[in-house]
Amino acid sequence: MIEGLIELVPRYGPFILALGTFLSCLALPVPSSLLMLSAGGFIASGDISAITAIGAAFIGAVLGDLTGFHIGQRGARILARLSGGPKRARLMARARTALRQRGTPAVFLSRWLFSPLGPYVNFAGGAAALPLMLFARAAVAGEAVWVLIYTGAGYLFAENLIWIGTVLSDVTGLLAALAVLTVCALWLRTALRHRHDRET
Amino acid sequence: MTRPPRSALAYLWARHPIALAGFVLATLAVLILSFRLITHTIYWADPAKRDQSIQPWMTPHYVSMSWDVHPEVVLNVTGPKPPKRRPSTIDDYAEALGVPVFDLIRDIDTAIAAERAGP
Repeated sequence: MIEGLIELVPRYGPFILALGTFLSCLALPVPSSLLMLSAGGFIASGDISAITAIGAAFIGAVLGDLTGFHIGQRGARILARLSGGPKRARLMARARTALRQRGTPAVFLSRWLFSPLGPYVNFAGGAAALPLMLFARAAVAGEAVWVLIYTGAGYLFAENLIWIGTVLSDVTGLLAALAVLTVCALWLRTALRHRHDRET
Repeated sequence: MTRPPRSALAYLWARHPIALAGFVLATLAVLILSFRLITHTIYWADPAKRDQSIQPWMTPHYVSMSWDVHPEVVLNVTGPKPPKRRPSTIDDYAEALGVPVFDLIRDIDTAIAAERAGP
């Protein structure tokens, strides 16, 4: 299974890399990290060009982010039409303010450090009407880091692609779960404080 | 009349079900993923398991890089590159030669072993 995926890289080159990163930014279960690691391996062996491979993966990722953002925008508009009420509007306004304040680090870090969360941040960013330029700038910077880390790791560990692939997927998965855990824990703590304040 | 105070858990479940469900699910995910990371680390701790044997998806240059031999050692066995506009894999070479891919891999293994044994 893993071997079959790695083989796609010399077979279809930059196209498969761009397609892989594009689809994975839309929350589709595409093993884009393994594709980029393999690309790094084949760059190291001199079989494929570094510039085309890295460029293709990067362009696919940025286009995927922008598409996800657009889907979020559309989805929010449809939802607002379906169930528009003053309470909901207030809630959306609050989410929008929170995202605008913390949007840049959230978008940037969810590209590479907490990459499994990336697609959902795209949808949420679009839904919360994050300014497009702010989103795009953070996404471009984050995707550059993501693509360079993975192709770089593939280049350095070209002889142990499957090993480095397993390690990176375990670590990023764990980091993403810890990030969700932290956000939920902070949310619950704030909720309990509010309750305490109200009761005293 | 005052309501009896609810436990913190009941309060959170009633008022913030998403945050509480997220917290529980994320805790489960952290436990499962930590377990996976530990078992994988133990498995891959053996350097021999990290070594990749020659596979059909590899290219001759990839094989020569992995096994630290001159590309010619592999290319002498695989013959000329099949007429394709993309990098050819061992699978492609076997197809061009009309031999089963695992026979070709065995021959490459033999050539690499001979090269490493020295003249």
